[in-house]
Amino acid sequence: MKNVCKVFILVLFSFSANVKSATPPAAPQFYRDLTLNIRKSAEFKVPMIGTDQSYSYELEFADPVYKEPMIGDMALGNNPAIFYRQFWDRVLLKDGSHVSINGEDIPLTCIFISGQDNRNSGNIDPRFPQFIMKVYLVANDFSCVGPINPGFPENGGKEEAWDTYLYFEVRDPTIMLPVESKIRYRWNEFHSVLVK
Amino acid sequence: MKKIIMLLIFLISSVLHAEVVWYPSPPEAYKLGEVYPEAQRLLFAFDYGHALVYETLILKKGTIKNPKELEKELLTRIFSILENPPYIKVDEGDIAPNYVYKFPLVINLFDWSHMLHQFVLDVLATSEDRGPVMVDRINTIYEKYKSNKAIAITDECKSMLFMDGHYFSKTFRKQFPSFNLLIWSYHWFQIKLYEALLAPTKMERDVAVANTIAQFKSLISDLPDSADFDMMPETATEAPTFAKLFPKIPAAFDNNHMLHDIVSDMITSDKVPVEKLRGEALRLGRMAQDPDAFKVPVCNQN
Repeated sequence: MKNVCKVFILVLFSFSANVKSATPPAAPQFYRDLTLNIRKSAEFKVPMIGTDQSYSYELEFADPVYKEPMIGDMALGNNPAIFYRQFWDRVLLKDGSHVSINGEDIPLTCIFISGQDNRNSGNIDPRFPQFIMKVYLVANDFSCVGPINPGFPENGGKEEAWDTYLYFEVRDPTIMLPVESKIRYRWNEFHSVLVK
Repeated sequence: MKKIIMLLIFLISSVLHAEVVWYPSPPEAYKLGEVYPEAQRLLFAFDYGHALVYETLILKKGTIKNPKELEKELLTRIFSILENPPYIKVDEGDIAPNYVYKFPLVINLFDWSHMLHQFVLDVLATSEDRGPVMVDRINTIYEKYKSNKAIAITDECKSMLFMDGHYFSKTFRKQFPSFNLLIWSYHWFQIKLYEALLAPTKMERDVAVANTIAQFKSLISDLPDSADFDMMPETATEAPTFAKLFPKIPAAFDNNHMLHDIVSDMITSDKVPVEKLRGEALRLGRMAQDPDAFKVPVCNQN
């Protein structure tokens, strides 16, 4: 009996230690604020042999598509305090938001974010990002449905919904630095680097 | 795993108010073709024809020396499609990539509105009940259409000035009169089908649909003389029973049809250079959505 009590106290201790070490789960508004903190403008370069190509964007937020961001927690093991959190957000952009490609202004219509909050994962290695936000700045789709066509193939059309978008990842919400950027331009994709 | 699937379903279902993909499809979707295949194939041909003419005019913009010749050439191509219409709904982006790329908002508005057109026809063609159940189904579909505010064309009645009151207006019908009448004949056919499909018995509907197809063929048999439209046909005039049953839908369709004419004019007019097309299409598309723009207190008093 004494041993059982010892084990119980040990489990309880380790559980409470874990709970204490973990960040309290954030409210949905926290993720909406992250979305709204995405850089309002940026310029990128597509490195190419011969002549580099460049593009830039400017955006202003309009109404959100979701009342609040979607959140899903994936618990690891039996400890409910240890989990990976995924979140998704979608916000329409105001008319006038655009990406300039080769002198042509194409309307940016919405922002879609698929993110992961790892602060409660128990992994505190500094090489492991605490956040990953995959950001899609979508052009030409005022309905903002994607990246996958939800009704495909029964509804017809293509499996992917967006022919043109800017994509980048944000791994540090303090500086919102766009990394791993690429542009999909009428189905063709090019990797790019941030200029400013 | 179950949790993830539930979350994905939630994720998809919660974007229902902002989608150009009508998901899930209504159970009646595209059943019109099972009952009236010729009518359905003609509707597919119209989509094809619209896309083809827009793409051609964009590619040739500013370089058309002889509009009469081009109109003849285009009509020859379109008539061969109308004589042998497609069996499937062709993706507009495959026929008209430049048009789709330059008119993103307008394309979204048309796609969403065309789905409403199609599903209303599907219900009218297939509903066993010809009374309140059918009316309720159409109203349910219409509510879903309206709830998608990001890409819904308003159902407030607009004056014809919405179509004809701009600095580039009427260019298409002046340069391509026969083609314009062909497009108005398309629109006439679409709205006349509603009326035909409201006939009380299946036998009467069969006859009415066959008559509508025959009348349409007669309208386009010798353009421009065969179609004597002075103005774009309007839903409440051509389909009065339908307009009485569904008083808000006619204006939504008419506004869609007016926007088609606006796009035709914009693409044709020299006053709208290629580099301005996208911005002007966005401006006029927003006008089509705006319930207050060109609003008239009484419908069909243009």
